[in-house]
Amino acid sequence: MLARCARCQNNFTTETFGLQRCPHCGSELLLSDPNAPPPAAPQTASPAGTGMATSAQPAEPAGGSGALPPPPPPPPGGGPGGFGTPPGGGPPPGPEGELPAPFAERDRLGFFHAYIETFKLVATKPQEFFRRVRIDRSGSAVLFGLVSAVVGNAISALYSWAGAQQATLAMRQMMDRLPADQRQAFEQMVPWFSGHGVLWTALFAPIWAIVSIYVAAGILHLLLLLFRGANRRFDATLTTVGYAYGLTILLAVPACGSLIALVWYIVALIIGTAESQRCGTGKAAAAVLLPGVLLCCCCAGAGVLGLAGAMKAIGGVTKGGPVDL
Amino acid sequence: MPDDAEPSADVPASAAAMAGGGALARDFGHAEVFAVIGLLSFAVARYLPVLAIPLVCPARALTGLPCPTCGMTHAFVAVAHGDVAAALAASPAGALLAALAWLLSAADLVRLVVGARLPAVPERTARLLVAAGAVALVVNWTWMIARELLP
Repeated sequence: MLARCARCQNNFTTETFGLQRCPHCGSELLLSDPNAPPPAAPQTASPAGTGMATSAQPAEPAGGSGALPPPPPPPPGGGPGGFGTPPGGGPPPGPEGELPAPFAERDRLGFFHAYIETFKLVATKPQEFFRRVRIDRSGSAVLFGLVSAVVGNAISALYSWAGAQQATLAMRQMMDRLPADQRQAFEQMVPWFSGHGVLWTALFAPIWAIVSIYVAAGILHLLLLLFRGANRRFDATLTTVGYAYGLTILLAVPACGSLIALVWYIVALIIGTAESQRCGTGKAAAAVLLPGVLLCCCCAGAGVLGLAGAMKAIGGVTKGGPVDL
Repeated sequence: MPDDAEPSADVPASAAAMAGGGALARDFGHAEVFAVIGLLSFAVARYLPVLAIPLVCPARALTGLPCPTCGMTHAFVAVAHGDVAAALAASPAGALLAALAWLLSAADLVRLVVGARLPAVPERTARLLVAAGAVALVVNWTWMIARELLP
């Protein structure tokens, strides 16, 4: 029989009904048996964990129209993935049943309300949000990320400003354990983590945020191209990065805000990329994590080489030979 | 990125002020945002005392060896000042990246003013270019480490 994946809209052939994976995008889907007896109560919700509806039909006889049933309609507004659009109101859904994010409708919903609703969706329901969000409004996504980054950085700068003395003291204590040349290098970096450096960082946060969002989206899209995961245009990647970047407002959380923001951002970005590009979690994770993993590997490799050089030098010292670093 | 030629719905609106309205604003899409970022990086490298900022690579400070992007800032600044030899000595990949980024940025803004269409890059070509860039970065890093380690 012929079936259509509700997520990537691709057709595929299968012999069985029930729970299975789409061969195109790898998403889990449930093919209901049309000959099965109807359930006692009408089933309105999709199965837990899949969060999507699918359609399937037996293979048509020769000469049939070959037309597949249309993709399932989006759930009514207010429900999961409905993005808060009231029934009967708001703009029409996009070509794939997509809906604008609440933040893209901030003129109608009000800026603060739209921001909060969008943040809640990105932070708590990234899979549903990024699967259904319209990608032709990437300007709103960039603005969402920009606002979040500015607010998050400003509040974070306040904390850093307040604790600059303690931070400097802690860094100096750490540096005392380093060799002289390394200590000198870190000494130059201390002002950037306290006082005026923090203030400048906060002031340039808007420009930095826009550049970061675009550059991150560009690199991510290039890596998706490399992994054959860029199934949709650049707007999808930019929309994902922009809305995921909104999680940088968590920088406002005292003490561990930057760590929380970073981890949550990466998780949301992987889920969001998998959904918005319809490429599966594996390719999305590879594209998102590869730069970081490569950097870590490179640094670890450099560390091993440096350690080997140090051991060689120590060996030379113990044997009484000349030290050549 | 073959589909970048198609501007998104509200990026052109937000870019209207930057481009001065009219046809320029209508055609101002993602490629042009990247072009502006590229030219902004040129202005920073050319006119701001970037190398005077006391910031060092943490990986280099800890291990004594360069990270894959070490030397990029020096290369960008050197290219912006027309010192190609110094740029290549700092980081060959950085010099190449700077030159390519700024040439493409300028070309895209000229294209915007002239009103020409953004050339479409086939996906296969784009993929090959990305792979070549990744290989170039790795080769560049290997060469920089070898330069530090070998006498």
